[in-house]
Amino acid sequence: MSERNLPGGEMSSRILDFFWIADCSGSMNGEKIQTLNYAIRQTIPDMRKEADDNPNASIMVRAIKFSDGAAWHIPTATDIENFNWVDLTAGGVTAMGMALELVAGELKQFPTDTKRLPPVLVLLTDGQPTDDFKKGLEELLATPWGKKAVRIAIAIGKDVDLDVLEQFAGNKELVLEAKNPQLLVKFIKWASTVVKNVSAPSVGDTAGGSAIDVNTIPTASADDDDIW
Amino acid sequence: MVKKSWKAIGNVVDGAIHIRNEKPCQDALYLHTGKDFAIACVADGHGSSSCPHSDEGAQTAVKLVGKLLYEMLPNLADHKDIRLPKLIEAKWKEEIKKLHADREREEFDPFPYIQYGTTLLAVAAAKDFIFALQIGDGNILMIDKGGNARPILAVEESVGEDTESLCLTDAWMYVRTQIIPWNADNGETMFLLSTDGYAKSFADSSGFLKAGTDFYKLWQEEGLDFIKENLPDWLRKSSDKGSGDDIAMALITF
Repeated sequence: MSERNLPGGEMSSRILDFFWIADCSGSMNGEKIQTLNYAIRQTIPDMRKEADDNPNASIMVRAIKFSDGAAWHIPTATDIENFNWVDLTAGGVTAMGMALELVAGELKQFPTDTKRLPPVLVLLTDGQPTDDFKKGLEELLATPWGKKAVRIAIAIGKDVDLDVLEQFAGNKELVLEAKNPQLLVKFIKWASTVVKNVSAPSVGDTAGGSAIDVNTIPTASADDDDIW
Repeated sequence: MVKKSWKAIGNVVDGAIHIRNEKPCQDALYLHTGKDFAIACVADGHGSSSCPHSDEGAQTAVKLVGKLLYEMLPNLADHKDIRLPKLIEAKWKEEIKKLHADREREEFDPFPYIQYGTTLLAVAAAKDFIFALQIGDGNILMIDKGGNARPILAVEESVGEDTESLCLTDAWMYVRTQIIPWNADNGETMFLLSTDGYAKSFADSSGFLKAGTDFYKLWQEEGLDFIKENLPDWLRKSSDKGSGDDIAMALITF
């Protein structure tokens, strides 16, 4: 018996790892990167509330940026309670494959026990990969946690290679086309709410259950702008 | 001298997350003891949106398999082949179909067993053998007279929340069984069965194994009634501090 008078060893909540993977290529410059920074910052209070509402899961957030290469923007897994968004700036090309390799390298370090919840990966991009995307995706999906991750892709604007994003998400329904700034904000907020489903898991099963309710994905409003 | 015998206790608690989300408990428990035997079954309905009736699937599974093991107890030690897993799958699916029809729920073709998907763990302890059975996640521990806890029917854990299930096509292929020869001279022994919400409440697997040892010590020092009285509170607190999931647990002692 422990000092807490419960049988067994130390108890702990489960860990939910959340990754923002953001395109910072030159074409993101201006309103796109500003909206992305604004929207991610807006998600923080909601994610904190979710963490407060569900003490059985600890939400740990990281961020990766990619342009000419890929680098950690927020490298340390940070409890959402202490998480602050640092604005991204844009410039360069679209090394999306390298970004996925970076995620894969991190997920490889995760222990393969059932204590951890499936990670959530949110990829935001307005373009097409300029490096070896396939290699990056293969590395990601070769990791046990990469394969099990909830992978959401947000396409910003009309020049995005949707086929690539579908390969990343593994599900067409989780490729969200943000055709205007308002939709980008809605999609980023929606993606952050996925932690609610993942952090209170119900087992799907090998027959194909899913924690994500695609019916809750926002849609465009009549008063949204038409384009970027 | 009082003749020693098998005893079984257990409990089911709603998970902290399920209470917050006002979802019904998906776990189920069945216990049956008699002269020279004890049977315990626990099950964990999947609870996802594609499994809206999995609480009923779990209840059906524990009752069905508990009764089946009792009926087959005299010959259970001979069931080393696939007949029993096939029988369990067939009977569970038959009962689920009947239940679905009785509830006048929507008709489907093919029948969506996934709506009732559940795991199942069972132990039948008899005079000269122990029979253990499992499909899906969850844990069975055997704790020997030295208080050493070791897993039975354990497989390498898979990441994520997927599990094998009675609802799968050819579910019998995923049923694991084990027969352990038993003799009263083995000394005081305990078996612990729990749905995955309990082991996932510990920071690591050693914490869960320690729970097996701690329950054994409590039984030896305080008695089974003491555990029975406190078990609901301990499981409730374990879910609160840990996984937040429903927990069903059974203990069989000799």
